[in-house]
Amino acid sequence: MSELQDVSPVTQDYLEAIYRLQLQKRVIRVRDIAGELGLKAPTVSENLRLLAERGLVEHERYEDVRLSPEGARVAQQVHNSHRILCSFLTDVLGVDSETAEKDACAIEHNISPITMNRLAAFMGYVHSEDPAHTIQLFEEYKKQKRDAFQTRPAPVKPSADMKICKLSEMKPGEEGEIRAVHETGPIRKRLMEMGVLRGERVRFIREAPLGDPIEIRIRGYNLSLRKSEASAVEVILDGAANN
Amino acid sequence: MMNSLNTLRTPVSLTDTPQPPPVAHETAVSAKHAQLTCVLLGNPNAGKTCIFNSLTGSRQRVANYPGVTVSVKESTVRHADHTFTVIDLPGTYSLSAYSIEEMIVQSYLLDQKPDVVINVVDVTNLERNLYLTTQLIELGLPTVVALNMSDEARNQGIAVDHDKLGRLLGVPFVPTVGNRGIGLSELLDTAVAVAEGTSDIVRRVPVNYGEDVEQQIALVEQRIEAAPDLIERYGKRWLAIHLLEKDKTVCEVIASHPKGPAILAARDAAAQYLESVLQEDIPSLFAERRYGFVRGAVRETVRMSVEQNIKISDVIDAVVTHRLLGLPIFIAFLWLMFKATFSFGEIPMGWIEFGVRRFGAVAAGVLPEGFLRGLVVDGVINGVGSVIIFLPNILILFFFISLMEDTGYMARAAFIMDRVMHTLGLHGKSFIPMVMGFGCNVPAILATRTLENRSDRLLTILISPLMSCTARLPVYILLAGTFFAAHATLVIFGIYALGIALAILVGQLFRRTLFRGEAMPFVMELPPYRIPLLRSVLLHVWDRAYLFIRKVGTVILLATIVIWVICSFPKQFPGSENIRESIRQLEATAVSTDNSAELNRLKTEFAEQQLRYSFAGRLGEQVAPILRPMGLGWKEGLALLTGIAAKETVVSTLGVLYQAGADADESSESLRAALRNSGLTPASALAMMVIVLIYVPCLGTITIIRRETGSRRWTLFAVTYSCVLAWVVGFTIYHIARLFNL
Repeated sequence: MSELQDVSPVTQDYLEAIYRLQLQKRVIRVRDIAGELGLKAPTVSENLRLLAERGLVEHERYEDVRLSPEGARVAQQVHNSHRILCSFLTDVLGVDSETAEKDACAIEHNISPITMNRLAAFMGYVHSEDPAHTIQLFEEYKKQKRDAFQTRPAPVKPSADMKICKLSEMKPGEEGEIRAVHETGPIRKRLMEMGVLRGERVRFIREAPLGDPIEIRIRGYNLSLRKSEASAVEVILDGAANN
Repeated sequence: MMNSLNTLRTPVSLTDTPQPPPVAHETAVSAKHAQLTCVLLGNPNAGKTCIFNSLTGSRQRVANYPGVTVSVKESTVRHADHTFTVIDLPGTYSLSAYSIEEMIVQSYLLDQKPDVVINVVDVTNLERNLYLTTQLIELGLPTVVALNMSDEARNQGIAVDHDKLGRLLGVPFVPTVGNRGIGLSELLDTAVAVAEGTSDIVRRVPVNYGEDVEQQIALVEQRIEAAPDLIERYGKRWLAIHLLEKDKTVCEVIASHPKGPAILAARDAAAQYLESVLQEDIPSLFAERRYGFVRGAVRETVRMSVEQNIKISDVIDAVVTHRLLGLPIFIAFLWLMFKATFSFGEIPMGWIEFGVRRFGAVAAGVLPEGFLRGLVVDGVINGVGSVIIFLPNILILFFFISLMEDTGYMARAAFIMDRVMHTLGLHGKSFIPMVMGFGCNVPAILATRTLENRSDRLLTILISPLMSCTARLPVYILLAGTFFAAHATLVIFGIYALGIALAILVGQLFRRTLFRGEAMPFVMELPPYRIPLLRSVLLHVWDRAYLFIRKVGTVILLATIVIWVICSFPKQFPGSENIRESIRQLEATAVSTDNSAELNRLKTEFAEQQLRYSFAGRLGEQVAPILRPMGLGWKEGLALLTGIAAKETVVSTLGVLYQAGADADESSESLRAALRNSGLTPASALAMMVIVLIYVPCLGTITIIRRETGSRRWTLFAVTYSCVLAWVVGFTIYHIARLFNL
């Protein structure tokens, strides 16, 4: 008995192609297979001879091609893996079908039977009972993870029409976006926890009556901090380009 | 550091020691879940204490002080067939071991492993509040989120799909209105479901920190596997993340583990790699991802229309924190607070005084002449009465302090005053303990736990006793009222101001000598203004009153008895028989005007002589030489000595000492008259007030300083420096006053 891993990827491709063709046609010729695999007929013919020798294919020159029972078993296995991988790539990961097709071909030959079985079981679960609910949950999960999956944006490069100033130097009513927090240690940590992070919008509200702590608005709440701490926060001011 | 918990009260019952269900309870209870330990957790100002009070119906056991929640409160609640032990933890923004409060919360969660955590979040500030929730999720404890203030949110046009939010984060969300008790029953139902694992919403949805970080977390996790005992306690992922974040507690725990060095090495390698690849320090990486996670979830589930309440808050702030108006408004508010405390307070004071006098008279009539009557009437009723009379002042003052806290004005006070606090080397937050200090130094010192840095804390602890507490107020009222009748309020205000000024000077001095180094960052939320609930304000006031009454009933009662005894014994003194004989002779003869004057003179002389030679008098004599340069005698010395027990006692001691010669009319008015006739000058009275302001904090405060500093040396230092300072300032004031012929 041939196990998948005993059969070379090329052989798997042949067997799978024949399997697929069998589902469509009654009689399969060498040129059909060549068309399916995008190869020349003589090459296909030669390879079919080798497959026949291994007992995976039943084929006589100039006659139709048929899978042997052993070949059919292997082909079905490969085809199943391909289908499951494609479904995983498109349904779950949301990859487009063309890429999925290509990646599935690449993965299916090298994937271990254990992983394949687990994946098959998982997709079985995904498609079971209430597929809509499962997928929807995952959709939400993905959306919410969007930020984590995305690569970090590079710090905004200063440009000529961009006005950058320290948070401590802003005027009441001015708004902007935090560009960087140049602070280390506990101060930085506290600022982080309170949500003073890069890319965040801030509005300067006021200075305290005695001039020192300032009040800002960030993430929908009001925060006060000293100028010495605020001077470590760099802000890109809004509307500076128009000035 | 984990043992910092030892200083906390351990909850009475934890699940690992399930207790049999109460006998009175009829329904059969499954023994396994009859008891649930439930912890309330959330950002400061999210309404935790409100939910706690509503949940527990009655108030919590009075094991702490009003104001900032710093100690762990607990209470028991019955719900359906479960008994909850509810624990109210201090408010925190995060679960890292950064401030003392965070350390308390962190170690509580890790060591006590409560059955369920109720995370109270403020819907009107969801994003910031949910940051803590992500850390709770990471910790993996069974959690329910109470979406508190949902009524306020609705008014502000904030609509939260709490069901969806719960499914996204894998923890159930229950909308609540803490102060009206809405949603609490459902909250407890959900808590039971979560604790018993029957909630269908609960999933583990850890924050994904992105590929690079996750990889490094996995690497550190691998190394942590060498320490299964730690994994058992804290969980692998949590340890790895907190190691990467360089959490103090976790690093210490790991470092003291036999496999520690290898784990720390792996952490360092991972941290170095991440910092070089991502060009960002690791704590902010984690913070960014957590906020990203939260924002994603909030974006999906929250719809906002207008920020109405914020606008009202902004309008109020535009006035009360105005550049020019802010400070005057604040000072005016403080003035109003004191004026109300003293002026309104006089009315009920009169009633209480009347009641005490009547009670004394009745007791004197019932009891036979002798030792017992002396003890009860002169000792107990007189002594305790002269203290209990100040209850109205304390109630009014605490009413204002609670009002400031509940409305949110307290945070503005810190905002306005930070500049000043900063110049004395302190944090604006130190202002809150300082203001609390006006009420009582004990909660003030407890409130210093909001300060993150140890030297900030120590400094605040050392100088906050200079804030004149309500216990000292009776002394001022007595002395200022007696010697500066027309300007009593001004003098008292001056004493308070002197306390503040000294705090500034001493603060600067200590900051420059004892505590060199930087103060902690001032990063403080200015919560939106809220209309305070009368109930919650009254609750604070009642707590305060209860503590005061209890103090009167215990420490002060005991002190007055001791004082009376040491003043009354021994009865004999050199020449006592002679005077007694003369009195007897005079009394035997017919009563005439000449006679009665002579009789009074002799009686007074007898009492004075007796006191002078009593134990108390001898004790006072020991102190007197120190006080003589300020025109104070042994009576004041004795009063100050007894005042160490509790400063109110200064008044009751003066009462016993000065009224000993007069006939038994123990009203304040008679004491005032006695004081006026005692030969004390206004200058000496000023010096006396100054000394009372500064010298040794009372026993309660000393105890709390010892507990909070954890150091006998600092406690001793606090006592010594305050005595020396009291003498120096008292002496100076006395001589300045003399220049003005007072």
